[in-house]
Amino acid sequence: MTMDTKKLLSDYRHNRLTPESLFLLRKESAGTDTSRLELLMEDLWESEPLDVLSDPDSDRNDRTDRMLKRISRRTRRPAVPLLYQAVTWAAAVLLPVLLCTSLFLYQRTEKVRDNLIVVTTQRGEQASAQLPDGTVVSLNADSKLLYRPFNYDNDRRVEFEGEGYFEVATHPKIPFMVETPDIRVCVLGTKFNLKARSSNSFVEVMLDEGKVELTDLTSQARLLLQPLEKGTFDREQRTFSVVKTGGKEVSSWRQGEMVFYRTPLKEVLKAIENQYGVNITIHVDEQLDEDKFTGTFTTRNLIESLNMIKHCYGLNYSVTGKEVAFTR
Amino acid sequence: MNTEKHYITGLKQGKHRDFEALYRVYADKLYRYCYSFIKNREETEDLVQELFISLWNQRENIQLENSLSKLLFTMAKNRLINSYRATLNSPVFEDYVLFCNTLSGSSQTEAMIDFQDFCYHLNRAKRLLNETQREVFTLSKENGLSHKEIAQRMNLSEQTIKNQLSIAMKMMSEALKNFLPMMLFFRLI
Repeated sequence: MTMDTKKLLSDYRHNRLTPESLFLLRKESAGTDTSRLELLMEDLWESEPLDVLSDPDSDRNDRTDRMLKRISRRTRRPAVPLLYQAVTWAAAVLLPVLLCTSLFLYQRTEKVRDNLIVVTTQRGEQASAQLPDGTVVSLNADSKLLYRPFNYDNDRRVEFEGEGYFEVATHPKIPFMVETPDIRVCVLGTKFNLKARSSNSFVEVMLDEGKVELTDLTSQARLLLQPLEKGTFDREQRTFSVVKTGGKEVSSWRQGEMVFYRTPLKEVLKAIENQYGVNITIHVDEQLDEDKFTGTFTTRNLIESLNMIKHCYGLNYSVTGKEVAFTR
Repeated sequence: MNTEKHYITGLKQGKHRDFEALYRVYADKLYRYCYSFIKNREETEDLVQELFISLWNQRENIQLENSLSKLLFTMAKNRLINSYRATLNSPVFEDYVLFCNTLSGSSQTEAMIDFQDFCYHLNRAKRLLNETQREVFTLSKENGLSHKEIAQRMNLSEQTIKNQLSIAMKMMSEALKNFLPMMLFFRLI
């Protein structure tokens, strides 16, 4: 490569070629083997100051940025794998969090499943409870209603002790079941009064509407009740019996009355004790406990009730705080 | 130089910031250098881009003790020489040189119009030709075929080619008057 070639190349690069010099350069370049041209070009590349070459673009910075952008598109990770990476990271972070949450929720569900709602009344109290399906249970004094809200809609089962009036929301498929320690009352939608006190020797179901089925939890013996029938379960004999009623007696407590029909005095007094939250004792020689009593008391006035018993049996009574004592 | 070594070390570790710093040092010089041989902006941009992309892809093989400048030239040279030779030997470049000389009247002043702009105006003017004229013109002026060769290829007589080319040249001259003041540069054989 001669000095001439260098000059020709320089003219080419600066657009100063003449048709004659172009002819010469073409001839040179055709004859020159690449390695000599390479050496010449490398020398120019290393030695040439930047400003020797004019820039074809006036917006040089734009060009540099534009090219870098395109380069970055290929050197930086593409968008989809980046997203994938982000998702991977998110999953890695979220997995333990979700696991903990699941565990927590599971445990809570377990708790909820075991959750019991208990409605109780003390002696002298009455209360009303509405269950998730709209069933309303009115509790007389000294009663207890238990149910599990978890899955209640598919399994309408409650436990009950004491006396209560049930207005069961109708559901054609899912029966409503009340379990007392002795019997189960199974209904589809009805109104009935249930009396299942541990202090009474009988469990009584007085049906107002619909149909109920009573089942002895021990023998699985069954009794189907029609409206206005009262089913009685003898807790000692473990037998059922049915009587027709006028419908007033059993749920009378809800109207502020206590109606008794040939009821042992012992149970009458217990009812009064429950109603007013008092203790009644009878200090007499003869045995009055099993005496059959028929009558109606108010649930609003203890003295009136006590006076009625006083006149019926010719007794006297004294009230000391919560203690009532009958004497001859 | 120490900063460059620092950047190269970063690049080898896959740090984009150091890669971009190196790009900003070399991109402009590389572009101008290559453009002076290729004389086409898009082709030059593409070369420079591909160069830096392969620099990134081969970052782990970079030797710290060698100069990056030398490495860049080595990576660029094959494509650069090919492009240079393509431009140098193209018939349109010959027209361009003729044009520049006619325009300036002196071979020692730098041309007023660069090769790419010349090609651009030429192509615009070419749109005015009909299909035959355009093909004759392209084969003659851009592919450098002789009248005889064109006649054979197009299955026309040599005289027809001469006539068509002459019409084409006339029309081009008319059309290019608006863009370029002098259109007397074509080789009229």
